[in-house]
Amino acid sequence: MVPMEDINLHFTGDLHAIGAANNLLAAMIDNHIYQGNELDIQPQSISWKRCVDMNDRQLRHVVSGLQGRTNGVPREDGFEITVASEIMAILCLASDRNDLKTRLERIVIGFSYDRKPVTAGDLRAAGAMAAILKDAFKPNLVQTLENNPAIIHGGPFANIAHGCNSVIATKTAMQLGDYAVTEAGFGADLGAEKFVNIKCRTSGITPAAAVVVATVRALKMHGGVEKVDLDREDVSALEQGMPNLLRHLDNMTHVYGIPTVVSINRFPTDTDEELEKVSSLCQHHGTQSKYQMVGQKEEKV
Amino acid sequence: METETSKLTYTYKNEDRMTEKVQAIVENVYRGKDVKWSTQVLKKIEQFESAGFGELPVCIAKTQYSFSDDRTLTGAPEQFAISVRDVKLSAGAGFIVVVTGAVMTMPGLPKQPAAEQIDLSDDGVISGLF
Repeated sequence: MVPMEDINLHFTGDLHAIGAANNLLAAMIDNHIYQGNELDIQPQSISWKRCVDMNDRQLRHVVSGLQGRTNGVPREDGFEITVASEIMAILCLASDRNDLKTRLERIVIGFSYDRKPVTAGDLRAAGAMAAILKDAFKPNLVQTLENNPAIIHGGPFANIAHGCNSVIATKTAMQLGDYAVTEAGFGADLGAEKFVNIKCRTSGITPAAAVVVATVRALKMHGGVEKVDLDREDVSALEQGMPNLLRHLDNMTHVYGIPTVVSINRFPTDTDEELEKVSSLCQHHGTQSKYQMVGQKEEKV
Repeated sequence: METETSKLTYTYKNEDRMTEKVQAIVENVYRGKDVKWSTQVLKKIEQFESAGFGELPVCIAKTQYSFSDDRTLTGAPEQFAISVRDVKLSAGAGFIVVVTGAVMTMPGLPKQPAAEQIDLSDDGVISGLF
């Protein structure tokens, strides 16, 4: 993808906007309590966290609002990484501006003393949050190194969030191209599960087919090889790791009902025998596979 | 492949109980056996369901390294149990987040952060990002 540096740093600032909208709501919650707590919010029930786009374990649990009456009401608080913020999920699942605002209004930040949910709508925060997200809500057009148009929009990780890019981006691509390909992070247990049960259910999108991307290196790790030994040919470890790939394939075809092919991302250290082994075991399982050469880079595990 | 058509199937129904939705994913997708719920987590689910959020889908936070919630169980493990540590209501997004194992919504940096390799040259070129 190009422009690669921009995409990996601030890009069009969408992530910053998501963080700002998230933290505006956090500031309005604590301000509401400070100004008299008309909604009767029970501070211990507040589940809305502040966020920052930084892996910073020091901020997981903090006590905020210290130093006396004029500096807020002290409470146990915490931070999430921005991609795990509910705002990221909302931006990715909203179908249009109106739906974006409705979803922002619906956010439950915690409960009142009489156990009623308190929403961002109750705090009158949703309009300003939507205003902050105005431009971030528009998909970003980039291109692949082979000059295909690509849309990058939203990035909730599939291990800690729902793992799919925005519904708006996917629907835009479906209208613009002959084929639209979208990625759902990680395997059939995380990205695909949430793509099917959350994104497809919410948006009404039905995929025609799925591509499962596999590497010989990852399969060898599933067969017990240590990361430092991955460059060495090891067909037997590969064979031991294959049940992992086959279970992902079985989930795609039999559990989710989507016709599936395998794309093997070929690394320079992969041997022909290893690649043949993956292909033939996929074939035996009833799934076609194709190799594809990738660069010299280390894969992301 | 060209002749096959997609028969998209959801793993659970909206009206299933929250615990049943998670159990369905653990059994049919992860291929584990049980889900371990703490009393505290079950209390929170009850609160979400009685506040009218029972029909939302679930969004499970789990390690990407294993089908189970234990990152060291590689391959295709079976008979394992998934431990639910916390549940969170995301009413705007429209799902209930179910946190399993040791997954964190605020990660930490590793022993050697990638940042140590990133630099900016005098003429403004960034290096070490990939």
